[in-house]
Amino acid sequence: MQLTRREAMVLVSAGPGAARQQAPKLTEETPAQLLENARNRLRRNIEALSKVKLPASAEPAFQFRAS
Amino acid sequence: MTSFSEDVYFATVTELNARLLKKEFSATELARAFLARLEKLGPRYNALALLLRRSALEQAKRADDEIKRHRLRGPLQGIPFGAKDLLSVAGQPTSWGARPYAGQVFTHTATALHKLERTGAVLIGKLAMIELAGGGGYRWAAASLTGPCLNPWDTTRWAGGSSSGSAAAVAAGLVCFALGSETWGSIVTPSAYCGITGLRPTYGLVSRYGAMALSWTMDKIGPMCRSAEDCGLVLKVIAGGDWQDPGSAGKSFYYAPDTVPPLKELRVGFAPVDFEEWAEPAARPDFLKALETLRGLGVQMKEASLPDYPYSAVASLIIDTEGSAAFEDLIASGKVEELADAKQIAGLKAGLDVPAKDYLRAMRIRRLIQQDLRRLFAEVDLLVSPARFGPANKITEPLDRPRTERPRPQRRGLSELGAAGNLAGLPALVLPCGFADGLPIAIQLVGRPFSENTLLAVGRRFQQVTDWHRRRPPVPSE
Repeated sequence: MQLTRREAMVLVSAGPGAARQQAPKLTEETPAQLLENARNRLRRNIEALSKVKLPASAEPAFQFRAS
Repeated sequence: MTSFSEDVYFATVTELNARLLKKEFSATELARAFLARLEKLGPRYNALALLLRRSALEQAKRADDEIKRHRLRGPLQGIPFGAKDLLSVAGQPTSWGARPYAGQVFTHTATALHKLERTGAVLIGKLAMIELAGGGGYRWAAASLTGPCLNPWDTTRWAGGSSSGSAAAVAAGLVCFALGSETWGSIVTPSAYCGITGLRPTYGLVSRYGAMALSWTMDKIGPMCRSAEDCGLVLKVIAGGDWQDPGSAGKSFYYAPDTVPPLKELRVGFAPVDFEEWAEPAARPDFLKALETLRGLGVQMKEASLPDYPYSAVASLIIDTEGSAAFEDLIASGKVEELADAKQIAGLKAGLDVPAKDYLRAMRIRRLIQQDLRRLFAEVDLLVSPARFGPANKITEPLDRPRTERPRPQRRGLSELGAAGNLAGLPALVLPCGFADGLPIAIQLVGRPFSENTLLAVGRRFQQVTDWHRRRPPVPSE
């Protein structure tokens, strides 16, 4: 999405308040579409991970230390 | 108020410390001057979250009293600095850059800040950041309670994130150094975009007690400074074991760059495709010169590439899952809707649905990545690549879309070194190395776990023969 020169100037010069008000309007998708996109991105990542051959001996990379 | 020349605002830690000890000015005069500058110029870049005038002046007075009594605490004594607003200071607001947490106050001070206070450094302000350090993924530079953080080199450009204010404030001479944090790119990116020297320490070297948690297995705190030398001096103070941080490695760090093997014995891995194809065309000439400069230091340059793994997918899945779990209460309360960036809201919600088996799979692949990178580091001592392939984005550009329509290079090279290095908890040093389109660009050196002294030794030598880290942006007069 392209901003008009005016919109860009408002965003640059008006500071925090403007940023808060402007940011949501800059988004093209509805919240439901964004949530679906986020879920699709997760699915794509999970699919990419499923292609990696994992030996059964590969332990997760976190440690627990008794103390 | 004592008036200072620009040289003072852009001096390194060691330079300022020497002038304090020579009594050219007092720590109180210095703090007053930096406070005034940060208060006036910080908001112009949307870099300031909170000015800490009263406590800073008290701390500066303590430093003056101690210097007078020859009770010297090291080179950071009396030096004004800032901290990303993800680190808590007892009794002061800590907003994590996010509207739902505006006005949040903790009763404890982050360990890293407490250590700096004990050594006499003067915290003058909390600095702006991307909301919740970008957990969930964000589209706009404006994803922050304080608005889009503007790059001092060109205020139509972004300062980078998520340690945005830390980088902008150091670059503009509003603080002498700052603390930032990185989960994936949050020290490296803003340091590169703003032309400063940043150090992402090995995972576990610096305590995260008192820091916002985004990803328990990937979060790191690190210094953002004017030089590699300064990064070493700051890291020495903030590193060390801490029982209050379950991820603490229990190790200290002694800045001793002269104890590393001679540079001619160091093997530096690089991938030509990173510099010739992945890098944006405008950035290639200075990136290639930086490679030549490194070669000129006498190190052994050796071609290298990363083992074949879906690094970005693994890093994303881990951060999405841990980040959503960390902010589960925020999501359940509905207050997540108060965040500025709609994409981030959606990302945090979606992350709650990741099945445990997939998170565990990511963490198991991470183990393999760690093992294979260990093998790679048997062949090289460190890796070098562009910190970012081009200069800072325009603040009106969406950050989640490709900036150019150039075809993706066929060979991977070290292009995913950011994801790989963060997954394996490896340290990285960002060194400014030139300009593209009038904006700073930088290389990154990545080494084995706890090899910070090697990175800093190479970085220090690089900065002895270049002056990119000394360049100053066109900061408006006060």
